[in-house]
Amino acid sequence: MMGYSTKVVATRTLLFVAAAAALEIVPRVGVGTQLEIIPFSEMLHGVWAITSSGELWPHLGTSLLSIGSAFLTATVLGVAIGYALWRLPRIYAAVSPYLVSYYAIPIFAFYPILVVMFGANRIPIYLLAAGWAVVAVVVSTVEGLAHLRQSWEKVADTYHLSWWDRALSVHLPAAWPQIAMGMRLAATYSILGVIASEFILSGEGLGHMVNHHYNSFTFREMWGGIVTVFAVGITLDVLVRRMTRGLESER
Amino acid sequence: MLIMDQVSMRYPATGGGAGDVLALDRLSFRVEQGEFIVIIGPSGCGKTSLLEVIGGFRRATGGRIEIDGEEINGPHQDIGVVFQEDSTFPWLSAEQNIEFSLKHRGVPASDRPTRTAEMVRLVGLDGFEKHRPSQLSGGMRQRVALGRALAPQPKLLLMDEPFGALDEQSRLGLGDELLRVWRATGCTIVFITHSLSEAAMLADRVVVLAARPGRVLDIIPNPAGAGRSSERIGTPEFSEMTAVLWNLLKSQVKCGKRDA
Amino acid sequence: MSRSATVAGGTFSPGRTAGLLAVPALTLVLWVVLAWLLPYAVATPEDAIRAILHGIDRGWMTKELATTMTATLISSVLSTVLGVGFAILVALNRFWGDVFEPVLVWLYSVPKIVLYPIVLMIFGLSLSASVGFGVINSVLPVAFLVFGVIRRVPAVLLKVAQSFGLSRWATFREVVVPLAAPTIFTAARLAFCLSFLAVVVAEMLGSRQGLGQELFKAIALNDIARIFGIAFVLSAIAVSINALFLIVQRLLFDRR
Repeated sequence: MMGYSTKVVATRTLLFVAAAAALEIVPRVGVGTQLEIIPFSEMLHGVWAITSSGELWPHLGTSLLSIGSAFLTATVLGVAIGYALWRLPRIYAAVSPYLVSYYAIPIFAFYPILVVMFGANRIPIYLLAAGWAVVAVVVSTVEGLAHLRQSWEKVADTYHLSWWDRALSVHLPAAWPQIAMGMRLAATYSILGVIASEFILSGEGLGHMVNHHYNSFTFREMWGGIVTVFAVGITLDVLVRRMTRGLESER
Repeated sequence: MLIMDQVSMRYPATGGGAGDVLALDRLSFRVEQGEFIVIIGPSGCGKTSLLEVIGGFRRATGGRIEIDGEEINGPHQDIGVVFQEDSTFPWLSAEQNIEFSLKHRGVPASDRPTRTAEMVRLVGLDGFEKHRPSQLSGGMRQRVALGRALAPQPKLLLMDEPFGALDEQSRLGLGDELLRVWRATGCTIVFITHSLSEAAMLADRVVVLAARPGRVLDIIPNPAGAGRSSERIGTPEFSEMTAVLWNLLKSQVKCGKRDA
Repeated sequence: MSRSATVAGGTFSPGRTAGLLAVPALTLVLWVVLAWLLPYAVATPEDAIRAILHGIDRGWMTKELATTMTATLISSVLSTVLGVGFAILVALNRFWGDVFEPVLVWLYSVPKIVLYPIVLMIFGLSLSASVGFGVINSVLPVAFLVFGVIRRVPAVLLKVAQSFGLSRWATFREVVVPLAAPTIFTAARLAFCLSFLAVVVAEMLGSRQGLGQELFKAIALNDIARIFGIAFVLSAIAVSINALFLIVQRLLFDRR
């Protein structure tokens, strides 16, 4: 008799295997060929093609560097801004309806402005991704801090903690679960921001590589690139979750 | 009117190491029409399981439960349940919460407003009937839950530590209210609690359960008469009652600690 | 004394309205300053408005905006229906809920923009491509959000329904839905936000119509007045429709 959690994991694994199998079989049977969806094994072959030819690495490195720096910036800045807004509730009240609409605004429209300001290099991409991701952290930080219990605040009072000590040892740890969620969103938006910018208007990076192969009709390599981007997304999410879970368990 | 006959509850092994868990072991007792029965026991004596089987949320794995001759094998329409946690629907007002039960017990729409209003008065929610639960205190919310359970005039009211989440003074006050409601409606009440003083204050008879697995240790009649209330606190009879109960439970609490 | 900051609720007072206008006012000031500092990168508000009016006059602004909004609407509705539907089906069953929960989270964290070539190939350079891309980008967050709230229905409320003999369908209708309704409404707003953005991006990337396409053309021609005009229109729409959602949400659900 299988335990419940084993059954859950087994079912999930089965679902993935079934999806991979479908992705493998359906194109071979001929359904997907008009749509240029190639069998799953061919996609993996595409990954092999771009890695063995060495094409992937510089693009991957460039993208990862931008993603990493955007993510770090967004997190640090986001927590700082979020904390400040929490201490200034009237300002937050004025700003929050706009923060809520932030993610509907097509921020990519401002990409060319950034290129004109900073040049056709990685800086506009980094700025766009960081600027896009930061709001998720700001909102999560404020929401996390809103759950601060009065009793914890009073404990801090009894120890005569300075505001800096208080922020680091009481406020932020209390808001940690929400901030952690915000960080995962920031990772998603950093990846999205970088890859999308590269897709639209760039000469390097994973997004550019996928776009290039699409325009050159080299679909196998294109799919290889797509699979790589998926892998990067999942890996980064898992990493952030690991990182944040570790710190959370210290509570 | 309620007959517990050799009721057992066994939970299958979950693979966490231990084997099957026997929560209730051949429980037998009877509750007469109009009685106020309190069930008390140490932690782990199966009180939750008892609520589940009488309330019909689970089937007992052994034995039989009957209400007025009908076997219980699902939530019975003549049984109203009041839970320990806040169970009011937050999107409905107090009176809408109460009306909910009338609606689902087949009371015609034309009768509902009057009966709802009656119940609002009975449980002491006058003036608060249009409030949302978020605007009410914990005690008021339990009054709503009580009103909701009582509105369809069930034969049996099953209450699972309904005042457990409240402060002691609220508990005493609501206990008095509950006794008043009980006298007014004449319904049968099965009240589950941890509290000795609650048992001594409210019960006609107290069923004392043993620790895991739950068995009936003893059934103690309460010398207090039908006119009892919180004013009995401090009287010699009250203290005697709590002493008797504690004597029985004391050994069980130690027992439970050793097993755990 | 509460130090917490929450989204200020309550009636509209002069103070509050002033506060809400602060952000657009400050943005305008910032815009003017930037336009003065970087005239080759940033168009002045004047020029942007002129470009918008020109677009309305020539017809492309209204026509392409209509295209974009149509695609956004279809995508929002589809995402909401599919996402909410899927979430409900799966979340109500404990086993399948447990199976799918991490899957939803993983899919959520993957940048779906890379699927755009696929979408293009399936739907061609048509409206459907924009709609398809919109749905791909918004359906998962919607499902995720609704999934979470349904899974977290307090067990005691389900027990109450059970004690009154409610069928599964009646429990769903009378307990789960009212409880989840505010979140479902938020999910619809989210569907709009993400669809709108995705549709504009899809249009920028190769669709033959829509305001995103006009934006892309303006970028290629380096017509900064038109770039800012279009960006302003898109941003204004995003903010206004969100505001509408928030107002309706407050009216419908604030009495809890």
